[in-house]
Amino acid sequence: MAALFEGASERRGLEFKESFEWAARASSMSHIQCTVVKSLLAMCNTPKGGILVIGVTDDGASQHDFVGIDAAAKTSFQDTEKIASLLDSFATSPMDYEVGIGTHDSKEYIVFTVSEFRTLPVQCAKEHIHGSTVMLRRHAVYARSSKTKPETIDASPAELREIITMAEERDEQFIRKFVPAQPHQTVPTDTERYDALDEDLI
Amino acid sequence: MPKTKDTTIGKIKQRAYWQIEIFPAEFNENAINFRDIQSIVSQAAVQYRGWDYPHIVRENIADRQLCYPVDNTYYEAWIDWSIHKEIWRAYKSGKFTHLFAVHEQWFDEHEAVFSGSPYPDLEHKYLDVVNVVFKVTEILEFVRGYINSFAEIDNFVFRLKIMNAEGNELTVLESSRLPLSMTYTNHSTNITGYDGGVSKDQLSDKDARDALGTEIVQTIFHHFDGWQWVNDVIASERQKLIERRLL
Repeated sequence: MAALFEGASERRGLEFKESFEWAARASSMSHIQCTVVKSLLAMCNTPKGGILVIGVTDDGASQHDFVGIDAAAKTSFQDTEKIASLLDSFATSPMDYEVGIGTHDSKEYIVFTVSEFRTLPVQCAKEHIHGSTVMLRRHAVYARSSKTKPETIDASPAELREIITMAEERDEQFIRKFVPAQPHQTVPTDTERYDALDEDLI
Repeated sequence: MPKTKDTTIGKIKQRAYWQIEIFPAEFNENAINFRDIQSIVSQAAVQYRGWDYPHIVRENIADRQLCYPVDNTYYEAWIDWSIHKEIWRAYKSGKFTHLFAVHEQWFDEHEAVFSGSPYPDLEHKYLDVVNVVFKVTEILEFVRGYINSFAEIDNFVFRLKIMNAEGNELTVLESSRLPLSMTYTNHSTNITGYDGGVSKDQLSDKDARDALGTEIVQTIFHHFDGWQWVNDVIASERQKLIERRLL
């Protein structure tokens, strides 16, 4: 945890969110929870994934206060199955993440550690409107921006190219995992084909 | 013990034997019509001595089998009679493969038709220089006729080898000829007389065919301690065979 906070600023693979109470049902999600879900979906589509820390306030000038979470927030994150259930409902393919409590300077934080997708890029599975704002859009591919200013965005062509490359690598790994490597096969020459005819004789 | 294809192959490979292969330069599974295979081989076969090349079996008896089809892929025939042990195959892909014993190493199985074995006690290690010239000549004559039966194919691969010949010595069997003055021994397991391309044009030209024959014969003899025969003598022996002036 110390490594996360010392001189920390948000970057592509690291995002801070202020404390909130996790709502187990989508219909009860707060605005901040919607942004957390969006960021987690985006980290799945980001090389090497990312870490999202809850319990950090932002003063608007890129200055962060590491205030931690209160007891009510901590309690709301204890049921990891409900967290998984809600996140899964927003993801078109399984999200690979861990959630736990981290401690720094006697303060506690909720920490999501997200891995990049295993086989397929993660799309948003359903729309979610908070108030009058569409917070999560069905079929959207979210990503952490590869630009200097880190933010969660709809994947631009740059991020989409990156995601496609990742998917191709995953596809190759998947094939290598389940399809045994074939020995290098060479095309027999005409002479070899004739030689093979009477191997039983000569 | 009954004679079969397998026992015949076993006997061929027991002592020195000739191994002949001819096939088109480019693979074609159906280079010739399957039903034409027998006639192509029969028509290309040559007979300058009493024994034809390759031997065309004309009856099914205990020691031989008429040409028969196998798997709709090739025809095969074999014989194990007297000093002659042979098996050949002709494929619809155009390949012809022929294995046959060096007959001068099988006089112990000579069957008397008109008389007894001329060399009943001859060791199984001799290669008769005259027979080498004759055999190479017969083979090339056959190959010429064989490849000319392929209307659309001009280039072929031809291999001529004497296998299992380590320790074999050259000799002159015919008593009317001067014997070799020294012992000439082959130290290789197999002797490759030729392994390369031939074309219809090359083998249709008598001079080119004769030159190739001489080259093959000298290559074989060279394995026997570097022995060489005079090219003119080889040409003369070859001509005697072609003109059937063997006596």
